[in-house]
Amino acid sequence: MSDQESTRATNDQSETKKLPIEFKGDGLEYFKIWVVNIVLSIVTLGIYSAWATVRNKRYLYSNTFIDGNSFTFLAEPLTILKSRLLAVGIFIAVSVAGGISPLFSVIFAIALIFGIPFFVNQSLAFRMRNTAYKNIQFRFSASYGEAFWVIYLYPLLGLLTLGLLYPLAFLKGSQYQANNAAYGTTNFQFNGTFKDYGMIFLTVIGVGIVAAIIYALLIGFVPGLAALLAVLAYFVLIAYFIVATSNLYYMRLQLAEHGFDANMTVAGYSKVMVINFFLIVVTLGLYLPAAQIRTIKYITSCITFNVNGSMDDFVAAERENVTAFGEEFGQVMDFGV
Amino acid sequence: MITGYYLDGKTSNRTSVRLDIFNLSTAMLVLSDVNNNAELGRYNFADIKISSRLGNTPRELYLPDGGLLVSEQNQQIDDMIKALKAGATVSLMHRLESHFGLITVSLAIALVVTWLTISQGIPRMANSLAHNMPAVMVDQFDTQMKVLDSAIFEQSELTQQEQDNLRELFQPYLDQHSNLNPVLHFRTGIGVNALALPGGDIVFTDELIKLADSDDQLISVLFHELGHLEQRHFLRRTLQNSMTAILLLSVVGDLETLDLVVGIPAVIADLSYSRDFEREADLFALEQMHRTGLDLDAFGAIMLRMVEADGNEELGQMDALEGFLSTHPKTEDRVAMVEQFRSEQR
Repeated sequence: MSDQESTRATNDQSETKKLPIEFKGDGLEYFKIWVVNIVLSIVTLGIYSAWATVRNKRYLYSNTFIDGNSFTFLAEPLTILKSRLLAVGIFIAVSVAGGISPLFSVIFAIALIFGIPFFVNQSLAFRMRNTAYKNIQFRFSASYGEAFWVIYLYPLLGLLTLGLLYPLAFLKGSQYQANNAAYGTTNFQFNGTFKDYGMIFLTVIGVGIVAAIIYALLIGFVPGLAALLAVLAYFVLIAYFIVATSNLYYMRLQLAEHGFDANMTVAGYSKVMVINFFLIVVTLGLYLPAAQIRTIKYITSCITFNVNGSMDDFVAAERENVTAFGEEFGQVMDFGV
Repeated sequence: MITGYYLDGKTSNRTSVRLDIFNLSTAMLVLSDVNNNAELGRYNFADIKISSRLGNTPRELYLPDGGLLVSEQNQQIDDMIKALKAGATVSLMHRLESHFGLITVSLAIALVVTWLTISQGIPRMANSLAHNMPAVMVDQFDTQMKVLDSAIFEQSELTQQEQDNLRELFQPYLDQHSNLNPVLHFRTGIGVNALALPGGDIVFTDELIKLADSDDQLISVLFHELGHLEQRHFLRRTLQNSMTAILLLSVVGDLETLDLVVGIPAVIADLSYSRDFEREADLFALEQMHRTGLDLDAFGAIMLRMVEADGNEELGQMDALEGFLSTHPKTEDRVAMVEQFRSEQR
């Protein structure tokens, strides 16, 4: 009997265990937190917004579970507030200076172009540092050069080759995001290829061409239907692109010997987006927090973490603190990360 | 006693634990392994950082040695805090966030403040900004005609004679508003339409010219477009939209998973602003027509003709939702405005 048990144990060791990502957040509960946060932010003229951000994020992180353990959001409201005030201060100073002399605006714009890769690095580092799972922090550290290439040069290369090298820009973007990230001392790795992204682009182009042909054939007879089809094709293609690139990212992502699976579908994703869109319009935006919950629920329900062997061997790295300035500056200046 | 699991902060290994009060008067706590009752550590309550209560999410207790105790027993934790720290306000935020009356009041305040900001605050601020903006910044909006010419418009098919006649007709009214630097253009390619660009360019389409059956009708449209210029609508709309964006960003903070939908309230606000500007321009046109002694009915007449030519929108057919999602006010409202204006002049 002990023989049998030990055989099973070794089998379990080598088998892949698929752990779902569970999101236990509730739209109504989040809405309550959100509304109180908004009012306190208004009453305190925005000062409370840093605490609001932390409470919102903590709610979302703490409700995301893998294997019965939730994620935790670690950022301190004061850190966020300081960075936010600094970023807003710079924004106002630049606006005023630009009003006095446009030369300031030009100088600032150039400085911003070269600053963005740095801030994007900082921003990702801040986010990862302040995310923990099982009391072990995530990390992110990338070189300025790599960020510069990923943000400007690879997309430019794609543009110059009339789109031929766009898949490369996406590949490099994913590699930048994953390969510079770590859970404790264990690095993430992205194994996607140029071909993976190329196939997604080819599919989009192919479906786009077919849709264009159908449109051209129909427009003469039933213009209403043709226009409807064109709009539909447009949104379906956007949804497909988001779904396909997200699935690809997770499926090719590795953390040591562990991997991920993702099976988002165009139909499932579109359904979530259409319902969200409709309810947000009808409620004049009040549905926003619940819509966010719905979106996260859908995305997490499609991703599984595939454990090969033990999950208990991750080791924490030394704790480090990153300022929130990159993140907040990015929000104020409106460059997304 | 609080049960939960312990993570030492060095490895991802997880242990089921319990936290008990060791000595109430010195506020010392003891952490022990549930399975073998082995003691894992003793902590002073004051050294433990307890995360604030947040909905039903598990509570995090950060221990001074870098360890973390996670527990779902929110109520027990609150009770323990109360027992160890006399007079402590426990989970204030959580109580606010689960208080039905307070949430209702918060919701009302949030709605009223947002509504007042969007309907009053932002338009007023944009108005005063638009009329006090340095000329350098206004000039930045000035290159549109070239872009539209290359992208959308086609050259007018009106004869030179027709164009000259129209210019002659419009000239006195353009002269009245020479401070706006109005420049007249005739184009085609966008159906029945007229528009004013921030730099002062006013465009009439051939289709609109052909549609009008009196000079007064065309002049009323010209006044409407001059109204857009006089009141700096383009600039104000741009300013208002950036302000709404800032407002929404500060309200909803960081809903980054919602890139596709977070802009909807902004779009709704923008459409409402657009309708307000159309009304302002309509009123401006009526005032100018009244001042110059033109037939006010010409304005209503050209509006009706434009709707008929458009064909999409039957009068009275535009329901509430469409009205809500349209860039222009309902045509029957615009026609009714003529009557209202007339009765106010008497």
